[in-house]
Amino acid sequence: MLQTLNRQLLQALARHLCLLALAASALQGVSQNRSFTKNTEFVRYLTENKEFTDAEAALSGINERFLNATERDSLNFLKGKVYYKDRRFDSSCVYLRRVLPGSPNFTEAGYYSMLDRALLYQPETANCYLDSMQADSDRTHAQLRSFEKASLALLMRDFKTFEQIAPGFSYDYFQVADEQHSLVQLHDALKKEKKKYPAVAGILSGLIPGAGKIYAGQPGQGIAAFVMVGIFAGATAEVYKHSGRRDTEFILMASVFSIFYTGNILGSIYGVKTHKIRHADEVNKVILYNMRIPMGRVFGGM
Amino acid sequence: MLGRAYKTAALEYEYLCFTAPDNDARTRALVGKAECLKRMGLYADAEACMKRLLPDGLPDSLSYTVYYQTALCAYLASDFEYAQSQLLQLRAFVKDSALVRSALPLHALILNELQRWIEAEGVLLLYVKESTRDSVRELYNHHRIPRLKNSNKAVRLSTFLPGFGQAYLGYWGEGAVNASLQLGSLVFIGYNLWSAQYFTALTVGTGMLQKFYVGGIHRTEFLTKEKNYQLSRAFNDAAKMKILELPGR
Repeated sequence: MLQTLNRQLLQALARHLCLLALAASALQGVSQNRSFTKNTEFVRYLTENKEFTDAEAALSGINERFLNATERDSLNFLKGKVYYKDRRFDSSCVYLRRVLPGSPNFTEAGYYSMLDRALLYQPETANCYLDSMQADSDRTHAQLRSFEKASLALLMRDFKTFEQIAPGFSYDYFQVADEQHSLVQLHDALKKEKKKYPAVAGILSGLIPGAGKIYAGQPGQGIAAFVMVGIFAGATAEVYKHSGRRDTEFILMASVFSIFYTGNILGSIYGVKTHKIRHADEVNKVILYNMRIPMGRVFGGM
Repeated sequence: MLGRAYKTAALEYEYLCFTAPDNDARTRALVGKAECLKRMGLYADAEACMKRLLPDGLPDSLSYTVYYQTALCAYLASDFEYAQSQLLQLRAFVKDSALVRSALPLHALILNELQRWIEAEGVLLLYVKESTRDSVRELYNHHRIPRLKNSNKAVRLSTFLPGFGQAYLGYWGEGAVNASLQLGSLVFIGYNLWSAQYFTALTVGTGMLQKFYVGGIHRTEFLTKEKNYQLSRAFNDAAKMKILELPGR
């Protein structure tokens, strides 16, 4: 048994030492021993396999000092796209903004850095980025630009700006036509929405328990609140009728009723507030999702 | 420092996989990467890495490594069913019986985690020498194997005798509390009926009783799982060290 253990131990130690030797040489930056083209092919392979952590590690292993200006530009662009796919929009934006004018990826980098800001819920900054980009003669790009600008306006709930841009949608370019239709429909739906007020929900629940929740768009919770408050109201009234207000059971029942009644009112007020936030989030997610799809069609994948 | 070294090594193995000319080279690269991930404690990632392998057409020794390491990574990642399936494939496809035998302790550990202790004993008896068989039989003596609690029995007890389900599982205090709460609800109902407060008895009283009764049954289901986990864990942790020390034939 001792011999077996020793043999196993030696084998494990040998494997460990081999790994450490490999790792020690790796620490010196093996990425720079490969050509830039090989490294970028490897990074694209890792990104396609969704190994984003490895892709980012491979990119950080490339020493920029040994690259020319074009390669450095390509590296910044690649880093930006990898971080974008890994949903690290802040880092993605930093690298995409480093892509120089004159680079073949400059336009794409500009659009994606705008999208990064939008995905970080900074539509005003995204708007500035879009405005700073020079218009080009490509009509597909022109439609994409107006679509993204309209989307940002809708994100900011700036209906006036949206209504100035939307008539310019031609709906002729397949890359962006469907999303243009969806955006206009979303705008129409948002304009028709009735505003809900927390104070109104509170007053309604005060008058009829559960009515405020139904007003907040939660009918199931409203009915449940009505039933619960109703039960305790009925029980309190019954105990009061039999025993009077000084009875311990009445005091207990009245206290429980008060808690449920107050909770029903507060729940309705907060229900409207959270409903508003949740609804706004859902709408923004749809807008942002629609913003991403045409970008992929116009500029292609990695 | 070591973590960073393994991370870099894993990346280099991935590059070797990317540039591998054939399945053999690709396999060795991914096995190396999985080893790095294992040493970093990233067992789920190591398992995912091993799942990318295609053991078809590989030589016996490499085939064994693939199945064994996949099973080991899956075991460490607590994916015991998958680990078990890998070892069954190892036994079916690897022709070298010495290699197959060396995987038996891992197989026993996996069967322990799947609570199949009788099968685990059978597997270990195939592995050990004649002289050590008694220690295996002693380890899996029927007095030592955990006697798991029956979920259906516990739930039935809670259904017809509130509180007794929890008591059967060894949670006497919880059983007493649950029984008291249900009894209290019945007393509340009775008192209100006697006081002619029928609405209160019907709504508040039965509402309370229903909540405590159903809650007690759900709690029993949860406690059964917890108890069985504790019993299995206690036996498996003690058995693990003994199994790893067993000498093979």
